[in-house]
Amino acid sequence: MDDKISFTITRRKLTEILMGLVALFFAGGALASILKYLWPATAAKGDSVEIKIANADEVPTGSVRKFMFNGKAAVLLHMPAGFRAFGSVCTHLGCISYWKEDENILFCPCHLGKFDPNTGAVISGPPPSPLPAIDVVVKEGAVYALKWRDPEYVKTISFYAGAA
Amino acid sequence: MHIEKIEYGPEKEGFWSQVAFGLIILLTLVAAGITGMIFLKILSSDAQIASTRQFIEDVGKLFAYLLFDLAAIIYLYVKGLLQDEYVTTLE
Repeated sequence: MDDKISFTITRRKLTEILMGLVALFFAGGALASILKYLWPATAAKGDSVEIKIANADEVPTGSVRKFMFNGKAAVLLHMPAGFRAFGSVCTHLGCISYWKEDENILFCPCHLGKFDPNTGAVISGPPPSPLPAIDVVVKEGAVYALKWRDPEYVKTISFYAGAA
Repeated sequence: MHIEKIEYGPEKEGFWSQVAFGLIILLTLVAAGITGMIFLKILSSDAQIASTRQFIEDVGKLFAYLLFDLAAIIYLYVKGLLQDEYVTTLE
């Protein structure tokens, strides 16, 4: 009795199988990327996360660095009094405010909102409340963002939903 | 009524078809490697890094390499490995 089990596979079939595996691999990676985008890994609310923003010498006095904090646009400013960081999403209608060096302010271009670069307070314009401050620390020559200074305040701003 | 039925004959044989098959295997492994690099880069990068121009350019280059790699595989598959097609028309 012949109990051998044999099967043959053609080169064409093998090539198709390999290409199918690569396609599956690609689809899996794409799916994982989409899932990561939809459900980003975030630290527990209110925890200190220590996000490195930049090396301190890369942000000389009077300059700024944009970064993302808890999924929101933020800005690090090196003022003469030290480093300051704020969420840069305007509290008025959610536009992104930026550093306007000639006026020494954070400026929202949509409705001309102006914010104090030291405190985030509204100087003029329609924004109803200050930009939320972010605690920063300089450690081993680098600047790190730690946490929202007032998470309860951040929760009250609709444009910062989910960030605190 | 017009029906076309495509049938394939035996695979090509000979030295060059073996070379093509070896290259297909090699390029398939390269394609898998590039795919892994692309998604590892995307999944493991922080948002701060992933939003930089450099990151987007790097991922774009990897996608371009992958495209050329797949094109080469398809070319080798069709020209080097497959036999001529036999087209039978039934009416």
